[in-house]
Amino acid sequence: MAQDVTAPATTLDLAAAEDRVLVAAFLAGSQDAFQVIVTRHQRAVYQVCYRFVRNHEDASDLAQDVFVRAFKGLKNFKGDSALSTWLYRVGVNCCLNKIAARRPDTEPLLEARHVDPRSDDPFRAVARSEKATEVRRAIAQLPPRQRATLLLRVYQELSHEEIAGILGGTVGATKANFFHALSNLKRLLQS
Amino acid sequence: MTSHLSPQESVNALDDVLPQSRQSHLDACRSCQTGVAELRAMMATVSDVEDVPEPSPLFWDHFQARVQTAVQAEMVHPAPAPWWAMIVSVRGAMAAVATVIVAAVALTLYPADPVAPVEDAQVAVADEAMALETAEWAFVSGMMDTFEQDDVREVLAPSPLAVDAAFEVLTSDERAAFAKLLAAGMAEGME
Repeated sequence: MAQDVTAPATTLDLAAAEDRVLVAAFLAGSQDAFQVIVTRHQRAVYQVCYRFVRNHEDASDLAQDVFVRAFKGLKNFKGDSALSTWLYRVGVNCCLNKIAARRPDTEPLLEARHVDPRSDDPFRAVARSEKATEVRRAIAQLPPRQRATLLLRVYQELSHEEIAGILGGTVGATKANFFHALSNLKRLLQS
Repeated sequence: MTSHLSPQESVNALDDVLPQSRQSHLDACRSCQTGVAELRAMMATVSDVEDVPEPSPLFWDHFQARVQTAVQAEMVHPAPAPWWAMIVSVRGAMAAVATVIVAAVALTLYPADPVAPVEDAQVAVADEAMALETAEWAFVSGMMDTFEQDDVREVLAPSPLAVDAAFEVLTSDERAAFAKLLAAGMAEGME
């Protein structure tokens, strides 16, 4: 059953409320509603940011920036997409701006070389870690839109329609981007 | 024989949403089958990479507090206007101030009879330039006295190769015009 968006924010069980109810409550002045939005979406937003920048410090700064922008921009949220999709859009824009302003990614040394010595087969673990490092490095070399499309499709498991909504452009262009991302990745890993 | 799968259709094949007519082509075409299989393998490679390490559980509490602080700071001190807006406003203000200063200085310096002071200034500047030119001319003519005439002729004379090279780049029309000029010059010399 749909929740009553017009009910006073104080009478709502915010933690259980749907996103659109939280947005309405926030726009009506409830700071608690915004806190619940942060709590609910922080992990997904952080993960999107981490996938772009590949280090915890930048990812947490970017995720914070996403929520500050959301706080200022939620009045423009029309509700024609899920709140999570809207937050991804804000996040991807922040990340693309960030990576456009810095040198190409390099894999952080500790993350690249970390292998759990307690694993059953350390040699296999090392090989897997090195392969993962190669793949991440290749993804970092993709053009920004291809990279964003790949990350949103493979890791966030978003539909091509949702990705088109986040990045702008048509669904056909998004599919073509995804195709070229995979093709370029194959070429980069072979070279 | 139908055409091979486009990038979009290849992605549709990955997602198992290829229309029947194109699926028939894929079933019969070894090249398209290979292409789709390679895309599928690359997607699996990317999916297999462990991508985002989970931050410490304390991080999320800390993150919420950070967002709360940043949002409150934003409410108290909103972010400054974009850089270009600042430049436009600063430039506009500076231009207005500069216009007022120039007008005030002009009115102070040239209140009633602007002609006489300008003439005085021109004479003073001309005298100064003459003094400079005299000193520089004395320096140059002094240097000229130290040169031997034969040395100067040797340095300034073009090499025969340079003349040949210059003639080589002329078009046939230019060469004809050049021959006419030479003939006219020689005829004048004979008279």
